This record gives sequence, C-alpha cells and structure tokens, in this order.
Amino acid sequence: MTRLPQGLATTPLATPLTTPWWRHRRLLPWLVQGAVGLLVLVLVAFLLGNLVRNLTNAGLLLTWSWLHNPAGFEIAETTLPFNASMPYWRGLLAGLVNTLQVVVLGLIGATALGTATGMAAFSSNGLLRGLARLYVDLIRNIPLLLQLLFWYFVVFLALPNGAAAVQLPGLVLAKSGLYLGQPQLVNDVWQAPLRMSVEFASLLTGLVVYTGAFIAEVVRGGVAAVPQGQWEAARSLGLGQALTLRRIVVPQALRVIVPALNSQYISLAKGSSLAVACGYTDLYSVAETTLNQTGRAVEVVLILLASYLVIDLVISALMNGLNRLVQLRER
Amino acid sequence: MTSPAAATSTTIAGAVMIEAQGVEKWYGNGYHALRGVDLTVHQGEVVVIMGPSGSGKSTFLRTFNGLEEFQHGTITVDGITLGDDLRQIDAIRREVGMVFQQFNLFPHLTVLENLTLAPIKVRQRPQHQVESQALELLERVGIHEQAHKYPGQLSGGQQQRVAIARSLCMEPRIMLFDEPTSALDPEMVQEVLEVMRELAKEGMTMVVVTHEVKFARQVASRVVLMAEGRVVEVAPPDQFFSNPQHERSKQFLGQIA
Ligand SMILES: Nc1ncnc2c1ncn2[C@@H]1O[C@H](COP(=O)(O)OP(=O)(O)OP(=O)(O)O)[C@@H](O)[C@H]1O
Ligand SMILES: [Mg+2]
Repeated sequence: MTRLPQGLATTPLATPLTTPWWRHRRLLPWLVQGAVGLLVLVLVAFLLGNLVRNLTNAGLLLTWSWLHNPAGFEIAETTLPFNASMPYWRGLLAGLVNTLQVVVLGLIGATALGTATGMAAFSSNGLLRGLARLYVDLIRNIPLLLQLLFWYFVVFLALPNGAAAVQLPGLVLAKSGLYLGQPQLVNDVWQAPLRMSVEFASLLTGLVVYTGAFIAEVVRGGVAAVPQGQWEAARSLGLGQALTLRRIVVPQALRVIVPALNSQYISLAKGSSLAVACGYTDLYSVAETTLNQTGRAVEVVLILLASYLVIDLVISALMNGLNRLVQLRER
Repeated sequence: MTSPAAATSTTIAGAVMIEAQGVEKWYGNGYHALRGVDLTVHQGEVVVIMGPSGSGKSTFLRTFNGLEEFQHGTITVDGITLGDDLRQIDAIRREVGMVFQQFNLFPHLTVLENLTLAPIKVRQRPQHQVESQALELLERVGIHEQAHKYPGQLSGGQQQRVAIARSLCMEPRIMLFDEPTSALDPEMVQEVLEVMRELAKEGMTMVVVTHEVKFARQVASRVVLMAEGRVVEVAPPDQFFSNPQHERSKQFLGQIA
C-alpha cells in the first residue's frame, strides 16, 4: 500500500503543510540537522580564527616552504630511496612508506595468527585450547611498548651472526637480519633474495603477536555468538565439522567479527608509531627528527595527524566494504 | 528385514529401529540425567514421550543421534550401535532426522537452500534432483511459494514446517521431534501437528517429545512417561490416558489435564 507523503500529494484534496514545522515528522529532522551543522561550523570557524590569530602573534603562522629544504639526516632503512640531500617532504614520504609497509604486513600476519588462535578455542584438543588461552591472556595484559622492547633487545638483537645464526628451512635468523628464500653464507655474511632488518622484524613480530591476541578474542567471540542450535541442526543433518564451519558457522560469525576487526586493525596502525622502540624509522620518527631540526611543530603535527587519519579512514573504508559483503541477507 | 505391514500398523510389528538399553548419562556438572533407560522402537511406530520438565526427555531423545553422549548402556539405531566411532555417528545422523523446539533453521540460507544443503553435500546427490525433491516436500508441508524466502520472513509455524521438510529431504528412516510445537503461537500448533500426522500415516518411524495430549491419543502407537531420568510407564495411548498404572503417571496426567 502506498501513501503519498502529506504536503506533496498532487490531488486537490491534499492539505499542504497544515502541520506546523515544529512537529512535522519529516521536516523536523532536517531542521534539527541544519541547526546542529550550523553550530558546528560556527564553532570550528571560531577555533580556527583563534588559532591563526595566536600563531600570527607568535610569528608561527603555518608555512610549508621548509618542506623543500634539504633534510640533512639519513634514514637507516627505506623502501623509497632517500639520502640526506633530499628535501624534508621526501624524508617524510619515505617514513610513511615504511609505516605502510609494516602496517600492511602486520594486518595480514595478525589476521592469520588471530584467526588460527581464535579457532583453536573450539578445538577438541585440550592442550591446544589451553595454549591459545594462555597466549591471549598473557599477551593482552602486557603493554605493546614492553613487548616491542622485548622482541628487539631480548630476542632479535641476541641472535648470533654468521655460521652460528639460527638456520631453518628457507629462513635464517641472524643479528644482521632475517634472510628469506635460499640464504647462503658468503664470506661469513648471509645473502638471500629477501632480507628484513632486525628492527623491522621486531616491530612486525611485536605488532602481529600483540594484535593477533586481540583478534583471536574477536574471532572466538564471533564464533561463540552463533547459537548452539545451529551446530546441532547441522550435525543432526550429518554435516561434518568442516562443512558445518564453512557453510553454517563462519558465515554467521563473520557478521560479528568483521565490525570488531576494524578497531583492531586501526589500533595496529596506530601502534606502529611505537617503531622507535625497535629502532625502526617510521613516519613518526622521521617527523620527530624533522620537528627537532626545523622547529615547525604545528605543521609537523598536522602532517602526522593527517597521515594517521588517512590510514585509519582507508582501513575503515575497506572494512566497511567487507562488512557489506558479510552482512548476509536474512529477509 | 523390514516388513511392509509395519507401515500401516499402529501396534508393534516391524523391525526394531531403535533399541536403548540401560542408558545412563551424567552431565559435566555431575547431574545424573538418565538413570538406566530402556526403550525399543519398531519400524512405523510413533512413540510419544511425555513427562514433567527436567525429567530427561530431551536428553534421552538427543542420545539417539549422538547429540548427547552417554556413559552406560547401549543404543542401536537402524542396526548401527552408537559408539565412539565418528563414522558411525555420521552414518546414524544421515538416517535420523531431528526437529527442534526452536526450529534451528539456517537464517542466512533461503528456505530451499536450507533443504538442499545437506543432501547435496552429505549425500552427494545432483543439485537439480535435490531441488525438485525439495520443492515437492515444501508443497507437501504447504509452503512451496516461500521457497526463495529467508526463514526470518516466515511465521513460526511455517518455519517449523520448513524444518520438518529439511529433515525429510535427507530421506531419513527415523524422525525425532523435541517439543516441535512448544515455541509456537496456539493458532500455528495445528498446522505443524497436521504435517506430523501425515508423516505418521505414511509409516515414518517417529519418536516425539510433546505435551499435545490430543496428538498423542490420535497418533501414538505407545506413550512413554519419563520422570527423574527414568521410564516410569509405557502403554498404548488409550490405556495410558484413561487407566494409567503408575502413581507417577496419574500425578503427571492430573497436572496437565
Ligand atoms: N547441558 C547441561 N548441563 C547440565 N545439566 C543439564 C544440561 N542439560 C540439561 N540438564 C539437566 O538435565 C535434566 C534433564 O534435562 P532435559 O532437557 O533432558 O529435560 P526435559 O525432560 O527435556 O525437560 P523440558 O520439558 O523442560 O524440556 C534437567 O534437570 C536439566 O537441568
Ligand atoms: Mg526438553
């Protein structure tokens, strides 16, 4: 049954706007929104005006020309080529690329580890369940900064070099770095197609292990949220464990898991700014050096804010897209 | 092995389909839920289990398809003895359908997909064949127009009829019902009981936990009264309702009358 909206009806019988605006069902929300929007605008304008006035008085009005001056500092490890004669903006960009690199790999690793550990909570193997529980409880209760220091100073920096390095199939762990592929010892120095510095490796490991524990809880909670009756119905139809998980439980669990993952992913991205604890040069540490050298505190902080905001927004947008995919139709 | 006469008989005649002997179960918290239960169900029989809340009716029913484990006694279903062998439990589950109080339809699958998933994946039957059988079944339970809707769009009575059709689509030899009408509004109870009556008429072996006295009187081959984890009385419905032998049965009937 369709009912023409009051006031928009085309029949002569229509009574246009006989309802006063302050109790009009459809008009009122718009008016309220407009009023709130206006208030926010006024407030922002006032604050910005204040900021600019104060900065001008202190001779600190935002300027960006310094971005083109030579940086004068080196970055130990960059994917984007960089040296001291290049401008500040290039240094900040190299830092951003370093950050993105650890965040992307971290998200993949933490998701894999978290999913595996979260599912282990439902294993019929008591030892596996216990280990998963221990990992989650232990890791979640130790600050990330401490864990990063641990991985860097206690684990990776303690690795031996040369022939004494830890050698696994296709992987060598040495103080000089992690070597992947087919590592070979040439003149007492490891060579491999893929090398990771211990700084990067400690940061990545720390972020993956830490966030993985939170993701494990998210996954466990999502699976536990699927009613017991769903398992029972599937089982009594003769569906095996794997089929029950894949066709019945996981699709329903994802609807709970994906929205909760978003905040874990964002916390990993933000946590990456603790890179300096492992001696890894990320966006945050380049920005800090830049600030110290140029004194452009407000500009540098704005760049940092904008960068992390954009990273978070991109993650959120991707997760929202994924969320739309997993919010299954039910009616 | 199976006698065709059993299908139409309302009294004991056919081959033994379920044989439970001395079944005892303790829950994880130590509660002794089943205290030595015996029951034999023959092919084509409709056995109705009644009894007060907490007497172990659901627990007992759920041991038949391995949803509940038990510690003592033996249960043989359709010639397969329930043990620790997962293959045997799967084999039994393929032959035994179960209908739950809360329907337990898969909310993210359409009605049709609810019916066809297991036959295609477990029985490995061709999709088109399963689908036409599923549509036939939906027609039989009176909801074929809803095949492409989701369970959440149906009324409780319709959902329960879909749940019955879903079980039937696996072509089970035995159907278990655990209070199939207890979660339904009164006006929907009859439509579900009607489907169950039809099923009984066609000779399906059924074990039904229910409080529906009228259904039990009309359809049951035998009524079983359980109390405190034991079978107190087993009798044909006429005798059970008009002339119960045990004090506990009289007491129970007095409460539900
Ligand atoms: N998972 C469980 N853990 C511990 N005790 C349980 C569990 N499930 C059931 N019980 C107990 O076992 C007894 C039998 O339960 P059951 O569900 O079989 O009773 P019922 O006869 O089906 O009752 P109702 O008519 O209320 O459905 C009850 O006392 C119940 O509290
Ligand atoms: Mg029950």
